[in-house]
Amino acid sequence: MRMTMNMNFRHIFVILFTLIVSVVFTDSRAQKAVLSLDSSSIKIGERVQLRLNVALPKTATIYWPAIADTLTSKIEVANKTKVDTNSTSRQEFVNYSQNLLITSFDTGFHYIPPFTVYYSYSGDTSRHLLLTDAVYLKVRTVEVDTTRAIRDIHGPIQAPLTFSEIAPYLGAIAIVGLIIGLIWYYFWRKRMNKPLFPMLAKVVGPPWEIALQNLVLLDDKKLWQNGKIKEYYSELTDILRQYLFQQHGIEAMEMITSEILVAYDSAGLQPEGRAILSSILVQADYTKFAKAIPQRSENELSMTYAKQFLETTKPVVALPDIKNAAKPPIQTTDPELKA
Amino acid sequence: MLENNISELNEKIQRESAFVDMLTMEMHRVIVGQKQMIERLIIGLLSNGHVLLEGVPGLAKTLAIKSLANSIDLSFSRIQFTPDLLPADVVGTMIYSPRQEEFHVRKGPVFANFILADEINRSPAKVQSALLEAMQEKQVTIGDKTYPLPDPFLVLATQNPLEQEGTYPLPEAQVDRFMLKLVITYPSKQEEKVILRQNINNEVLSTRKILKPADIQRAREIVKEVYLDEKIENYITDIVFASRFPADYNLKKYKDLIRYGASPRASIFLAMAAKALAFIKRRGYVIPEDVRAVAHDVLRHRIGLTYEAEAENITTEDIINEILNSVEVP
Repeated sequence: MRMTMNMNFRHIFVILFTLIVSVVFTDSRAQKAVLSLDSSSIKIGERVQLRLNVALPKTATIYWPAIADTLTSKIEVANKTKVDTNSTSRQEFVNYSQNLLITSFDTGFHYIPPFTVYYSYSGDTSRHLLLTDAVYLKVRTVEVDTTRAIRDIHGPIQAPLTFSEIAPYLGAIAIVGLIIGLIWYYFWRKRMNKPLFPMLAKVVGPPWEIALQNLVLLDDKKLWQNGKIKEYYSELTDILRQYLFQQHGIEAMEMITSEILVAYDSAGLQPEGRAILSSILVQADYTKFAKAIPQRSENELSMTYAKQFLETTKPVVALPDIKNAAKPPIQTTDPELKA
Repeated sequence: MLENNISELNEKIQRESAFVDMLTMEMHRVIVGQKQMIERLIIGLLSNGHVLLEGVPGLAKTLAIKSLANSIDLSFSRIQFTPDLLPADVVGTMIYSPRQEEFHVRKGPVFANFILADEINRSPAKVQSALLEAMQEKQVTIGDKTYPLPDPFLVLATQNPLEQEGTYPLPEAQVDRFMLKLVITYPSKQEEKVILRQNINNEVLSTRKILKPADIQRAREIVKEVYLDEKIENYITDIVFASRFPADYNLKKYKDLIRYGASPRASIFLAMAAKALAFIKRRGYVIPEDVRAVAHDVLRHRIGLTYEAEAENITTEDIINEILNSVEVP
């Protein structure tokens, strides 16, 4: 009897030891694979996240299951993320996860079969497997309110635009805007009668010299010879008007002919220049506003007059009077002669 | 050498514009001085544009209009605008005839060639608006019928700038329909002496009918033919645009002082008035001088000023002067 009891105690001890050791051993290697759905019920065509999580020791090598475009004949995979790894609360374990975006276009209860994940330990050639649980997905149809009127099928919903999608259009708009801006700038500078690149425009001399150069350039253009009489007289008068402003401060560009002549008189310039200026401006007015067609000699004369006008009205540089400067002071004591 | 058609036009104008001197002389028999006012009234007459005269009392505004109307063999109506005037008093109304048991149209004083709307700002806006259709469309609707107004049809209105109480400033829409707004100034000392003598001697002078409606019609047709070069067109649009977008014409400081710029009517009337002035000056083409000469009268009532401008005592005259001094002359 006593012998029998000793034997039983020994058995119980062995069984308990084995159990404790196996539990401890199993815990240290608690591999698991979990398959879960964000929602077990969706409307037809709706999408839901299916998560596959696998926890394995860091030393194990995992063989992730290949996931095709469909899980079953009724479950489609719309999108899937890459397999991600993150640490768990237990230092020696690592968690593998992948999210699948699934959908179904058939109503009813659909079975999603368990996933099989293989793994092995280093130095161990045998492969172990982990099986997830199967999950069920309920796909509901859309309830039809028969009491309401029949409406048209809703059109496709526009997905929000991303920056990368609109970037090429933005680039094109920017380029077109830049081109329009440059064209506008070109015409604006032209209309203001200013050089295209003001910083590059170089001043070559005093205003009368610039005007003289411009007259020569105008002559070279041979405008009236090519029938562009109006342009010829417009440019000719503009050169003189700009000269009057730059050289004598008469704002002739904004003045009509009569005002220019009044301002000329007020500026106290050479009277002989007035008649020349008047004749050029009156001739130009006829051509510009009354469709007058001057004769060849009149066109040539206008150019000659313009150059003559510049010569007449250009500022005269006062040269030192050498003759008088060289004259020695009178050395005399005679007060009458001295005076 | 002018192009053939301009030369012909010049000759035609030399012949046809002779009446302008006669008309001016006839008016000067009655009105002393006010040369510019008379010239502008003739511009209005030649270009079929209504004229608003503004000035303190006693500057012969009403007399000038009456004299102009008297010089031409056309019908003339004077409407004295008062606070109790009704639209029907201007355009006419439907009168019920008990004998015939039906409504009859009774046409108002607006059915005349010349309308003198005296002291137009003394009547409320509804009466002023009654003139709108007449001025713009040259027709009047009474009941359900529309009646055309006689041709030529010209509204010459006066207003007094001094009195504020009991006056109704003309709405922008109506004032824009006047081609010219003339500001009448005091006569010179010499002119004042002549006026004094004429009145002391009880000389009652009035103009004689020296023109026929056909003369006016013919002159108007020639005025339309006066040549307006594209350069002048650009000059006109530049002036009008400068009143709208002053910053684009180196007038940035006026940007906040202008509430609204001149309307497209300003461009049209500037061109028409410049053509009429060229005709008066016996020219078959318009020059920038013509545009500048009429610019103040065409633009002064078409530019709205902000409170800032009023606070700084800046007037539309100042703005127009600046515009004319900034816009490049072709």
